[in-house]
Parts: sequence; C-alpha cells; structure tokens
Amino acid sequence: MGSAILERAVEPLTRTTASGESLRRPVRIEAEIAAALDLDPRRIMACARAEPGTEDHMSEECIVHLIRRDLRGGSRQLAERLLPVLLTRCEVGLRRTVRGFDPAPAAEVREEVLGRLAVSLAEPGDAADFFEVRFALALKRLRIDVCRRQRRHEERLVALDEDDDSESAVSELDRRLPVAADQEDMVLLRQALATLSEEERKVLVLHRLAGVPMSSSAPRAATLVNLLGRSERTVRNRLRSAEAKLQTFGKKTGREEGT
Amino acid sequence: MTSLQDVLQELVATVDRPDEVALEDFVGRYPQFAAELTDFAVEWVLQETLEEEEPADAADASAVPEAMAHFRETLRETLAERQASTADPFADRSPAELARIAGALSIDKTILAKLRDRKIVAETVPDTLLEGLCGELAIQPQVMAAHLAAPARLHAGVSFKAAAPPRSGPKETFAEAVRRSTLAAEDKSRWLAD
Repeated sequence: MGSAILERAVEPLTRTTASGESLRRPVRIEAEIAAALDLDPRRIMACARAEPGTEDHMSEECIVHLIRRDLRGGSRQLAERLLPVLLTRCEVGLRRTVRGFDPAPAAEVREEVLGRLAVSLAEPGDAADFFEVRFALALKRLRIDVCRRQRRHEERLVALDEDDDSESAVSELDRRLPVAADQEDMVLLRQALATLSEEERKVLVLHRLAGVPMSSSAPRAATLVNLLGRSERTVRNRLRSAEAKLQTFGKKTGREEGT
Repeated sequence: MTSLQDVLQELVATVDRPDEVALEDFVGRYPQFAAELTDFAVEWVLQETLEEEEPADAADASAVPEAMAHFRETLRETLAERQASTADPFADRSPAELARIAGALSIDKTILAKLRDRKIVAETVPDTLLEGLCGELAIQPQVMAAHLAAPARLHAGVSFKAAAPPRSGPKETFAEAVRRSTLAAEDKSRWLAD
C-alpha cells in the first residue's frame, strides 16, 4: 500500500550553478539517501534526531531530500515531522553565527532565515537543490543575505530617527581591527557598526578588512571607487569620516590603546 | 537567466572569505549584481570578524513554530496554484468511459468517483490500482499524485448560502471506500488483502 510507485530512485538534481555546471550531490550523500529510502518512517526519525558524531546521525542534506521527496510524492506527513528537526538544528547554529545585532533584531534574523529555509523547501522547482549538495554553505548564503537585509532595514530606521550626528555612538574600530580580542571588544565593535552610515561601513569594511584598494588604473578592477560608484574624493571622505568617529569613540569611552 | 541567489551561492562555495580578487572576479562576471555582491561581501566580512561574539541565549523563544507556519502556508499556496493550473486527469471522461475504466480496474464506479473527487487518502491507495489508473488515463504517476494530494473536490451543486463557505470534509482511506462500495464480497476481500 502507499505511493511507493510514484517515486523510487534517488532523483538527480536539475539546478545548475551560476556558471552553468549541473549540481550533483557528493557520493556519500547519494549513498546515505539511498540507504535512507529503505528505512521506515520511525527509523528515519530516529536517525534524524541522532546526535552528530553517532553512527545513526543523518546529514542535513539527506533530511532535505527526504522532505522534498515526501512533498513531491503528494504526501507531507514525513516532511511535517522531519522539518522541525532540521530547523531546530539550524536554529542552534544560528544562535552562534548571527552576529553584529542586538538581541531583538538577531532573533528576527534567525526567524527570517528559518522561515525562508522552510519556504524554499516547500516550494516546487529546483531552487533548493543546493541544500542537498552542501547544506552548510547554502544556509551560510541564506544567513548572510538575511543579515545584510536586516542591517539595511535598521539603517533606514536609524535614518528616520536621527538627525543629529553628534548623538551617534562611535567606535574604536580602528584599534580593534582586524581581529577583536574579547567579548567586550565585540560588543563595542557591534555598537560601532550599527552607528556608522551604510557607506562609511562599506568603505571601512571593504578597505580595512577585505583589502579592497581605493582606486586603480585598471578600469574594471574591484576598487572602492568602482564597487560603490563614487568618486575617489567621496570615498576618501567617507573613510575619513568613519575613522574620525573611531577616534572620538576611543576618547569618549576612555578605552585607550592597549587598555 | 542567472539568479542573484545562484551567484551568491557560487561566491560562498568558491571562496573562504571575500577579498579584492574574489570581488573582481564575480563583479566582472556578473556586473548586473555588482551592488548586491558588494553588500553581501561587506556583510560576510562583518560576520566573520565578529566570530567571537557571545552566542544568543538558548532560552530565547524558538523561531521553529513560526517557520513551520510559513512552510504550511507555502504548501497551501502551492497546492492551490497547482490545482488551478493542472489539468484534471478525469476531465472530459464520459460516464460510459468511467464505467469502463472502473470495470477494467475491478473497482466500482463509486470508488472511481471518489478517486476522481480526491476523497481518498493518496497514501492508502494500492500501488497496483495507481499503476492501472495511470495506464487507463494515460498520465504520469506524478500527475495522479498531485491530483490525489489536493483537497477533496466539492460538488458543483454545493451552494454558498451558509455563513461560511463550504469546505471539503476529511478524506477516507481506500479500505473504508472499499467497505462502503457496491463491490462483491470477494472483490472487497481481495482489495482489503492488498
């Protein structure tokens, strides 16, 4: 009894990468999925809930496949049971990896990431194929994308609320970069990032952390001038402004170099 | 057409951390996404730089129930779209033809009508019957799966005079449909034994 005839084999993925290569699951994932298809639902759930590192532990890629397969087959019973397990795993990771936000917006980011993951698995088509290939990287892309949207959203709110630059908190980012050393540094860094303007932050991060040069004689080089579409003078002003805030903050907080 | 998400995915899969070289490569290949790639790279570098920040409190409210609600809502929407766009595999079949199909599959017209109206739980329908049905209707198994998975169809005569719109009731299992059918006892026993 059942819909077993509707789908039996491990179906190949149909999505291609941006550069046109067909997506393929790693061999170990294919093997894991093939083995999972012989398991009854109770056993599948036990494996999905098994701790990482144990023999029974089921990979996220395999869980994603089983969810999508269940939905394609016209059912959703197994998907309804597996998805919360997958989302809970992701949520544990997101509590560590969503950074640079106050607690409330960080919670919004986690909610958005999980919601978008759930929706992408529910949608027909092959947009979620990469989650069956390298789940961690697919989730990382999703997390960073949601973070950047959240940060832009916060900036818009700040822009509406603030019209007095003198009230802006500033940071000691200059002496903390490139690697902040402790929890207190991290809090300061986060506060600073939240208060720099969008363009100041972009200039600072790209130039100081990602090593992107100010300009170049090569017309198509990845420079601040080309990436941001601003004149070199404007970009230098943004950088100077950001760095001035850093110095001001160092004085305001009394946290001098080396303390 | 290349989507932004595919481009961002390729960036994440290709480099450990975005830098001048990676940005030049990707912006050069996908100039239409230059602004998004730049934004994404900035956020990525920030996230990596803040790696030592203290984890969020595990006692915070879980976002899983909310995500599950999104999941179910998407499924509902997808199903509705599919219903609207998928051709009914039973459409344009005359009563005489449906009777012939029922006979060929050794079921009665009542069971076939319930399958047509999606009133039987898909997972409880025997594989042999599904195969036979797909053969008789000349459709792919996926089409039948989508048809059976949709909500039960309401009769055209059902009116909307009640305060709330009419809703399809719960589906029955194939075994229940067989027991309520007009099949001979031995045919019922054979289907119930499957």
